[in-house]
Amino acid sequence: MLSVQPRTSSGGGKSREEVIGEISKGIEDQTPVHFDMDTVMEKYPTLYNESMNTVLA
Amino acid sequence: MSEELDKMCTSLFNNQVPDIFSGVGFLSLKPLSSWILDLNQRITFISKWINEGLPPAFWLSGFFFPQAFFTGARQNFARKHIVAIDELEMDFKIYDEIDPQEVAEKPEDGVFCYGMYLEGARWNKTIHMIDESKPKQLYIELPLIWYVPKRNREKPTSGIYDLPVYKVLSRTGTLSTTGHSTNFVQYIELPTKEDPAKWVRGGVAAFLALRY
Repeated sequence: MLSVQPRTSSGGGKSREEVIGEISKGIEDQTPVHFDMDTVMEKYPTLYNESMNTVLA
Repeated sequence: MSEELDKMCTSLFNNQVPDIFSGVGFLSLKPLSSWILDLNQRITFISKWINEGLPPAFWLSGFFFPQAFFTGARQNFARKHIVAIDELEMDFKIYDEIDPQEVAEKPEDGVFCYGMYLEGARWNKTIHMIDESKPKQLYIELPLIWYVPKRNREKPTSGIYDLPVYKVLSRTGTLSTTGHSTNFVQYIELPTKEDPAKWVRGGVAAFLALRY
């Protein structure tokens, strides 16, 4: 169904490009920064008695 | 525009997770909008762990590879009590009177976990066993579970149902190089007063994530 529909709409409403742009912007805005793995490794080093640190990092 | 980019745009437009996202992401059947929410919840779970230290109860759905987490839990126990890790099997205790969010302290041994959805049956808080589903309740959340490793544990032969736990609703996976399934996580022993065959026939299983 979707493949036979026109890719660009004429007249009112948002174009396909606009919709995709908005969605991408929305995702980008929600995306947090990367984890700082060096700090994590420092705070949760690989320990004999705490395997959960290995699970985390 | 490259083919990849074109495919990604089509997926974004149709609220589907683009292949280049799912290819490197966790196993999921969710549409894109829920997928993003799920991703952010997982990140929040890990961030909280990083900032505030070990959580008292673990949100199982937040793990990419939960099996490794349980190995870690068994290893912790093995090293603390100086026993061989391969002699340890998990014992299960279900705490249906505490809200997982309200757990303030982690257990002395083992781990508290939550975040599983039960399909095909429900948890009866009065008898502390699995029971028939109530009308119009397709999925219910399983209560907090305490996993505690036990040495040379003998598996109970009656009064339990071996509940299979999967990551997602499809109930199928492929075997990966670690010897684990990409979908199946583990069996949990749930107490039942009925013949476990009844729950087997009902296809009762638990999932770490739903379709929405």
